[in-house]
Amino acid sequence: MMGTFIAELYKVLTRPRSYIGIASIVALVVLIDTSFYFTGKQYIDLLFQNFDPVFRMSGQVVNGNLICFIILQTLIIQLPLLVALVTGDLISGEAAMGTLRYALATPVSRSRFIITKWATALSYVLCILLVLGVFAYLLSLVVFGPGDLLVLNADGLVVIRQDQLPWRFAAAFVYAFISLSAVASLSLMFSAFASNSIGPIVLTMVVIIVFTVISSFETGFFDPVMPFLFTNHMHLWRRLFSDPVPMGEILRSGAILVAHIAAFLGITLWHFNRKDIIE
Amino acid sequence: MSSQEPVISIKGLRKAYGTQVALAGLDLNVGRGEIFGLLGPNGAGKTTLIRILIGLIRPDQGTVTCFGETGTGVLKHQLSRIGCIVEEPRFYPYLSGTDNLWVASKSQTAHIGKQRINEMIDLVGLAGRGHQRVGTYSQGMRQRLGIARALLHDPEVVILDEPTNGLDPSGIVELRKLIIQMRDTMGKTVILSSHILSEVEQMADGMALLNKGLCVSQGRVSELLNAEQLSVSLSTDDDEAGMKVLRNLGLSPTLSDSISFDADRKSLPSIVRSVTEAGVGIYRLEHRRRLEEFFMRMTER
Repeated sequence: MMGTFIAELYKVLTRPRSYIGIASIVALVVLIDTSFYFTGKQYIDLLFQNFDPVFRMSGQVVNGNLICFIILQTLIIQLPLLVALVTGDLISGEAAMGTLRYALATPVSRSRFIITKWATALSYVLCILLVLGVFAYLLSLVVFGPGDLLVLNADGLVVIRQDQLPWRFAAAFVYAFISLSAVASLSLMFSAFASNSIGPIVLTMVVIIVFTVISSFETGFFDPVMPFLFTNHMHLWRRLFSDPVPMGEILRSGAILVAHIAAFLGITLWHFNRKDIIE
Repeated sequence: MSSQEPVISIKGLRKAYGTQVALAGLDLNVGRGEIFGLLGPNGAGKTTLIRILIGLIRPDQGTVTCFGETGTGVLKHQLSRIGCIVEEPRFYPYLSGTDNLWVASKSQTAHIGKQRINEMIDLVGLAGRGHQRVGTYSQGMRQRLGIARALLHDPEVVILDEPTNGLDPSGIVELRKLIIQMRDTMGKTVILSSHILSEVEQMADGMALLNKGLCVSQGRVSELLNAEQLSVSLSTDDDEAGMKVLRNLGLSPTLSDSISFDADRKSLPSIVRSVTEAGVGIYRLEHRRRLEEFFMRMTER
């Protein structure tokens, strides 16, 4: 199992496409850091202008923690696309290249093949998040320095002390990993059904967009399905920056995401084990 | 050389894609240690059969007995004893030839080291090119790399689907030698699916002709090509007189460099006797059942 996993990882890491996501993240983080370095003060003034008569903010408001939080909020929307770009191609790309038949004409069982692909997809997600974490968190801290985090959310303005931040960011990255693993598992499932590279990537994005649009409707019509739309649970990492942290809600959403991952993987295994490889 | 013990035995194999029947109850035996030619027109079921033999397709009915074990298809663990080229060899174009073989080696149960990979690269004549990306390879080089991959894990059975595609004439000759070497030196069973009938005629010990999902003829190549109707070529000292005698016997001879006609195997001695009794000297007689003729006749049925 380890041998096939290493070979899969090697295939992903030697493929130019895999670096589109990583390069985009690095470029965007550098751009955001640069823009905040020059115009961060104006941005914060604009953001908090309504509080001006009530609060007086002192200290280093534009700090590494705030920039990291803003980067996370900005990029977390784009990350599913960057993940699907690689994971949606893992099986269908092999079918399109004609290498799938050679990969399966071996003693490796189809279940093991899928599990290996899935583990590779999750490793890529981890890799993307590590790059994001290192660049967004560490680079921002180096450039802007540490400080307390001011978060404006549904509960109002929350100030989180600096010593409370490392575990919250770490937990946010773990939660983001689970969220993106759901996206990776979904695109891998589509990939098992398809024989071209583009279809599963586009379909994954369509599902995320449609679910997100449905989530934004406040008519009540979609309320019964809302808890089952995995996209509704993907943004819960933000709640880790509330005070107090609603752990029950976060864990429940995390469990729903894990259930989705299991369901997507189960469907992939079920279908692929019955599929005739005729490409 | 070959023994008659079947290494693969197929019984009543059926496979349909919707309403389209690809295999309609196929029976087939492949002897151990032989080169076995698999022939048939497009849509005869050759590719479906090969894909069943390497576990890509599950048959609807029938059994496959492989290395003494019987299942509805080839069992997964048996694939460590089978190597293949299916339709055409495909690789990861962004990896080198050597890296492609390394990736393939990781799917095998046995440990395959760098030395073995380099040996295979050398064997197929890609020495010095293994480090180049496969995307830069010609079709012939990919074909050679495909052979290397098929042999990498030292399988007992090698399935080659159109293996000479894309090879230049010298490459074809080298590959033929390699296929014969696989049988004679390495002791492998080679299943050779090819549209080039002369290739099968030259190399194969046994063969099966598939048509419309059934095996319409199977046996030793030498026996199949010399049984029943023969294609006779006759060189005489008086071709005109020879032609006349043959016409009188109810045959339809044609004359080019020599007299050619089709005749029943059993009647050939009396035909020769009639020609010589008419005072026509025969200084060369060849009779063969040519594979092209055999192929056409069997698939037109």
